[in-house]
Amino acid sequence: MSDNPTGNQSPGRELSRREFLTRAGRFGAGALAAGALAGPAAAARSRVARSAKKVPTGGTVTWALEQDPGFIAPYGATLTINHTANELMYDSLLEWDPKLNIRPALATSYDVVNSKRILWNLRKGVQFHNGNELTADDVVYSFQQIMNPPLPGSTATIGQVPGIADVVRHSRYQVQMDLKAPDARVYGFLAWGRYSAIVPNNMYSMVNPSTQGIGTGPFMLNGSYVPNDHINYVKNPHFWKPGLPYLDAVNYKIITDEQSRIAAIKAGQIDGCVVSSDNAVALNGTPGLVVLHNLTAAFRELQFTIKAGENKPWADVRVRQAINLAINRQNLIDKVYAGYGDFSAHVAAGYGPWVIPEDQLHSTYEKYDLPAAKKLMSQAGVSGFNVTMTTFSTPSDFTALAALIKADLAQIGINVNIVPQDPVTFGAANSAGTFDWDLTARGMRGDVDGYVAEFNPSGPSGPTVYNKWFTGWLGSPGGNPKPIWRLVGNGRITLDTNKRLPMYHKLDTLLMQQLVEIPLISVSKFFVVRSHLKNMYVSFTDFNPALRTAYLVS
Amino acid sequence: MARFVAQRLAALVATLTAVSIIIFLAVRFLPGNILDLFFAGDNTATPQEIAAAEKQLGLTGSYPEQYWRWISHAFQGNLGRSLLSQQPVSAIMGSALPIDIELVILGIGLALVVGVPLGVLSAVRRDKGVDYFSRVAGLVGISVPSFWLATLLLIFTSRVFHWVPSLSYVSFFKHPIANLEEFALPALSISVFTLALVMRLVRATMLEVLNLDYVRTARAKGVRRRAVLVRHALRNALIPVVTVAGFEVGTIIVGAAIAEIIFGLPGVGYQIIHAIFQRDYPVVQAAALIIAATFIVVNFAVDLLYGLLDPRITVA
Repeated sequence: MSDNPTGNQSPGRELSRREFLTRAGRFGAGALAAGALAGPAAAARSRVARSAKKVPTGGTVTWALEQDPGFIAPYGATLTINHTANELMYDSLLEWDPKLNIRPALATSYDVVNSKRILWNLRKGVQFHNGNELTADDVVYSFQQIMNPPLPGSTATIGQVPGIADVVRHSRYQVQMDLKAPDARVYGFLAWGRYSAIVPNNMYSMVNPSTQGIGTGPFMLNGSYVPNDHINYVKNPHFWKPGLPYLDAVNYKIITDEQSRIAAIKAGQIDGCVVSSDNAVALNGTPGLVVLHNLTAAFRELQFTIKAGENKPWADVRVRQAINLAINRQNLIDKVYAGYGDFSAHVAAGYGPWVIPEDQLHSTYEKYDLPAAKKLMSQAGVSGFNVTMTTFSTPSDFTALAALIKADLAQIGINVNIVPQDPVTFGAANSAGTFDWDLTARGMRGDVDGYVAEFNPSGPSGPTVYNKWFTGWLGSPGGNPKPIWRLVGNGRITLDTNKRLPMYHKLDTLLMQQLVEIPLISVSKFFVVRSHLKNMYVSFTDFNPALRTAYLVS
Repeated sequence: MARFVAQRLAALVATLTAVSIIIFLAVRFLPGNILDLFFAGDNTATPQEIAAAEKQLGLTGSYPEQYWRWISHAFQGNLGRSLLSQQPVSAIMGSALPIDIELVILGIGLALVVGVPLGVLSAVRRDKGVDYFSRVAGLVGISVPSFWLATLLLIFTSRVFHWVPSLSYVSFFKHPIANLEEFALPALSISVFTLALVMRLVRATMLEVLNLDYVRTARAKGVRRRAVLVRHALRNALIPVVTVAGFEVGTIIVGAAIAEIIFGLPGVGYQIIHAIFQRDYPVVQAAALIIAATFIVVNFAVDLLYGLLDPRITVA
């Protein structure tokens, strides 16, 4: 099981006061490199040290969710918070460790019969929360829901599912998966777990899937999810990982207002929550509280539409390259995210070995070089233009980023009109391709293909994305998408990781030259936890799997 | 009286029908629908899959068809299901409504219980210390936004007393003390504006009434000062207060929505705000209709109260 996006990110770090002071005072690539996240070795050492002592068990953790999930059904949910809300309850066939190494979960191993057939060997003796034993029938049922999500989910998530043709029972503890074509995305998709929960056969007819669920995870529901209020979990005494979980219960309380979350943690009513970078800085050093941070996959980027027949100024690759050079990314990180972030290419910074190294981004692909930007604009024969850039009205970092980008681009004659929108309005225009520029964010993907699939018109996202955004790319001044199309298509069906890696490196460097989307920065996420809650980390996945192994000390 | 009530009831039904149409259209004229939330960005769902989801969620048909479907079901007590959670809207509103009812009662109650005596005291002790204090406090109360006050109260109690209201809704009928503890700060934050308004109004009308002939006559006839104030002056001064209190229910409901977000109370306002962002039409429609109906019914009740407060006002 080596087909993995192994990361060089640590499972999250505490912020020290010294670090804050240092970060606040430094600006530049060197400083950023010095503040880079600790590597896998450091994380491994800390785990070894911890395993030597007895971990306290028991206790209840109350964690504030910053958004209501709407429902906790495992399939067809598009909101990140949905998986955060139900991930303690479910397991997948595979899982990621905190460093995104793939490891066995409900499947102990798999046999690759041929490039289109995989046999999954299930772990024996695993019990669902209702006491039933996990068998192949449950896995078959689960995949039927994954491939055609019932209400309250939607079919919107099907695009994230690899090309699975069928999943059938092979024996009581063995499942046969047939693929439509060789597909390297399968393993990452299953380890991600976001859309691949394994539930008991016919679960949707046994419970109300909006508010209830049955899984094999370390915690099981205590009662039902109460929308806009709370979700309570208790320890699964029959969890298949011996000794886990350490906690007796985890209660999620939905508190959408950040100041209310901060007041609640200060008053001791909750044990942890997500906060913005500004509040993380303000809370650092508060007695009894610990601030944790880590990069997440949610990098920010500037999207364009390049449509056939429109001939907008940015259809010329030199203008896009000028825009890329004129944006001061370090300034964005320092001003908006208190210095916590990294440059990112099309594959999210921190996404294991698949990314373009940070030093290359700083020195070459995402270098801030205003004179070069002006020169490119001049070569393109563009003295300046007006453009509308839409972005999210909340969270506020998007509008703050937009304001800084506007100031940067004014220096090369581009007058940006910022239009903040609510997520649905933004999403509607984004899906329809009825925007000029969008300042948006990406998220976690199970496989590296998820970051580049939209650049291939013949792939699954061809009709829905490429044909609405990039119809004018081929044939535009300097536009050369064909090598990119080939690499996207071939990368997906190449199963050998060693062969895939150089393909995706090449692909990302080509995309950084074509820049039909301009990736900006990966940002850090911040947790504030009470100091008695241990073993917590901020997951790169943007979810909160740390609660599975967290414990309390007195 | 019966004819008046019948006329007002007919107007109430007509208003509610108009409001329901406006609400129905308003949410649909917003850009995008819930499918844009589901299918936004770089997902790879095909147009066929999107159309299937549209059908699955009941978003097909013309607007008149959809409106008729909604309103005819509503008359049968079926408010539909949330597009996001697939929970029955009636169940969502059933759990949310008690929170708003309690918040509104506490908010208005606090405003009247404190505002009226303070206004009377301020008028009776005109240009004295208590009057200056009340006037300054009233000015501050009218100027302070309720969302700001709510946040400030929360931060203050968490920092100073290391206490914030309970994070989960506690029913008054199960744990009255815990419930009142939970609602004290939200009710205070949403009542301050109305309290200040009522206090200033009572002061102004009391000052006016206290100078009228009948009050002077009553005093001259030897009626006790307390009786003059309460039975003669205050009763007349309360008529505009009742009007304002009726209108202020709307302000309190709006304030309650913000307070519910800040204090984590899943009331109707909380539901409607989230539902608007998610284009969850059935929830928005039901919640907005409930709020509109409440406002209309309260004002209807206020009209009826006039006659009770002042027998000279007839409803014929």
